[in-house]
Amino acid sequence: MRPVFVLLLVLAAHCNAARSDDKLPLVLNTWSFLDANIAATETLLTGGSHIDAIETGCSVCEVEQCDGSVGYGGSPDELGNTTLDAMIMNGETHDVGSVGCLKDIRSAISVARKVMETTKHTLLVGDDATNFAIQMGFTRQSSKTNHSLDLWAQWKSANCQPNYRVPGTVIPNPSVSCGPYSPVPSIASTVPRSGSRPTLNRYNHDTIGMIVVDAKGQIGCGTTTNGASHKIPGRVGDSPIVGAGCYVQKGVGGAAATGDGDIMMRFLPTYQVVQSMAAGMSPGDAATDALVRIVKGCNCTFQGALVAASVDGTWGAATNGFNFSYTVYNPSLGTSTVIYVNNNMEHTDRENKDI
Amino acid sequence: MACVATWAFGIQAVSVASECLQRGESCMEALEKAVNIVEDDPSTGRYYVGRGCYPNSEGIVQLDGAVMRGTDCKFGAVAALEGYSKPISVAKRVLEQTQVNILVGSGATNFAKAQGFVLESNESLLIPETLEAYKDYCKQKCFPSRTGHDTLSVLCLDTYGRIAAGISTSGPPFKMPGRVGDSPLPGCGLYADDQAGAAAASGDGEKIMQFCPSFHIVQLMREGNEPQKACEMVIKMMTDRAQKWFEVAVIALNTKGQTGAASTVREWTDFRDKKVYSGFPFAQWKMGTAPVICIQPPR
Repeated sequence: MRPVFVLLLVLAAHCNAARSDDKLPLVLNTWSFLDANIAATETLLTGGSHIDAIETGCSVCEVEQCDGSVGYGGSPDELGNTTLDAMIMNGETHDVGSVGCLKDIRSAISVARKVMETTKHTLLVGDDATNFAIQMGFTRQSSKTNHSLDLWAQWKSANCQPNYRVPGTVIPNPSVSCGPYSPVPSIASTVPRSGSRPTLNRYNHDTIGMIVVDAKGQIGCGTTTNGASHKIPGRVGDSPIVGAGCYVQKGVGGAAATGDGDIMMRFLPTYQVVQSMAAGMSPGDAATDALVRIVKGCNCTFQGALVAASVDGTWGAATNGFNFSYTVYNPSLGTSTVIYVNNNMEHTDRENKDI
Repeated sequence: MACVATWAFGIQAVSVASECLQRGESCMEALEKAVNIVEDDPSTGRYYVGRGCYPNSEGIVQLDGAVMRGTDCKFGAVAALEGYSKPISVAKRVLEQTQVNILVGSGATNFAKAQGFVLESNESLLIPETLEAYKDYCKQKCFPSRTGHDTLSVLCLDTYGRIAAGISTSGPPFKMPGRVGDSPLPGCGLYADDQAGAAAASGDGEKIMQFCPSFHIVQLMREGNEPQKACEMVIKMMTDRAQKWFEVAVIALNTKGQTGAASTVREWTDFRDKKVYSGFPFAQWKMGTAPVICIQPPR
C-alpha cells in the first residue's frame, strides 16, 4: 500500500519553486478521500487519460460511500430515497456530461461520462437518467440501504428537522412538523427566503470534486455526490452544474466545489475561479476571491470550500464556514497527500512537497 | 422601468410586462405574468415554449423553467416538468417556498401537484401540428424543417429598481427523455443581481452550458460595462473559444434601464407570419415608449 503523509497547517505557508517536470501530473480532490486520489493517480501513471483518471478516482468514492456523502446508501431525501448527482468535464474538448437526481444506479460519474461521450446532450435527470443508464448497460440496484433508511427513520421521528422548506410559506409549519406541505395562500414574491439551513459538515453534505492535469497539461474535472440529507425529492444541487460543481478551461486550469450547494451554485464559483485564473490570479487567490464574492453576494453564513489548479500544476484551496481538507498528488510529492485548511478563509498555493 | 425578451414572439411577454410594471407590480410578478402569457398560448409552442411545443423522443412534453430574483440572488427552477404548461410559475414557488434551487423530473411534478397546480394529460399539452411532427419523427427520424433553438427569456426592471430574470422552454424537438439544457441553470440560461443587472441566453443549449454566459455578462456589467458591450464581449469570448459556429443569442438589462443584445444568429424566420429577420430579433420596452421588436445583426 502506498505510504501516506498527512500534514496539519494552521497558517498559510509560502511556496517554493519546483522543477516543472515535478509538478505534473497533478491529481487534486476535495476532502481526505485518499483512496480516490490513489486510484486516479495509478490510472494516470499506467497510461490512462485524464478523463479515465477522474472516472476511476470518483468511482472509488461512490463504491466506498465516502463519508456517507457520496454514492448509494446516504443522504436520504424527504421520502427516504438516495439520489445521485455527478458531472465530468473535459478541458480538451470543452465537453461535459452530467446526471442529476439519478435513482437506483450506483455509478453516477460513469453514467455522466456516457452522457458526454454517447449523446449530443449534456445533462440527463431523474427516472429518464436511470433508463438511459440501463440502456448503457448499468445495473439497476437500489440506492437505499438499511443505513440510509435508518437515517430517514431517525429524521422522521425528530419531526423531520432540519429540512429545506421555508417557514411561513407552507403548512404545516416546517419548523416543527413533517409534511406533506401545501402552500399558504398569497405568498408575496418579495418575501425573502428565511429559516435556518441545516448545518453542514463533511459527513452530511459533501462531494468529491476532482481535478486532474496530466503530464501534457490536459485538464479535466469531475464531481459525484448523494447531495443534501433530507433534501426535497427531485432536488439537484450544484455538483452536476457546469461552473458550479466544477469547471475547467484548456490552457488555464480548473476548480471544484464542495459544501452548501444551494447557496454556492447561485454564484457559479468554479467558473469564477477559472476566469480569475485566466486573468492572472493564482489558484489559491482565485479560490479565496470566489468565496468572498459568495459571502458578499448572499449576505448569509454558509459552509463551502474550493480546490483549484492551473494547467502548470500549481494548486490552491480556500474554505469558509468549516474546516476543510483536500488530497493532492504530483511527482514532487511522490505520494497522495492530505492537507488540512483551517476555517478562516485561509488558502494555500502549492507546487511541491516543501511545505 | 424596462423589460427585454428574446425573439420576435417575446413582444407578447414584453407588452404584458410593461402593463404590469406601469401598474407598480414587482419585477417578479410582472415576469411571471409575462412568461405565462406565452407559455399557455398554444400558437407559440413551436417556438419551443410551453403548450403546443414539440415533445421529447418518447412523445412526452417535458418543460424547463427558471426565475432569479436580483434582490437577493435567489433562484428557483424546474426541469423535465410534466403535465403543466407554465413551468415558470412552479419555479417561482421553488424560489419562494424552499431552500433549494432546482427540482427535476417526478420531484418537480409532485411539487407542482402539492402546490395546487392542476396537472393535465400529455395529450392536452400537444397540438395537432406537433403531434403530427412527432409521428413523422417516429416514422422517419426527421426533425421539423425550421431551424433554430428558441426559448423565451425575459428580464424585468421594476419601479423600485429591482431586477429579475425568467426563462421557459420545452427544449429541442424530440430531445432525449430527461434532457435538461442551459435554460434552467443559474448563470447559463439566466442570471440577475440588483447590484449589476440581469442577462439571459437562448440558442444551442448544449454549447451555451459550457460557457456560463449570463453570469459572465452580469459580471462584466458589475465591472462597469454597459449591457450592449457586455453582451458583445461574451458572444466574442464564446465564439473564440468554441472555434466553430453555434447558435447563441443573449440579452441584458441593467438597473438604469439600459438594454443590450448580441448573437451569432444570421437569420431568423417567424413561422407564424413568415417574416424573415436578418439577425437576432428581440423585444423591449422602456418607460415612455411602446413595446418594440429590434434586430441585432450577427457578430
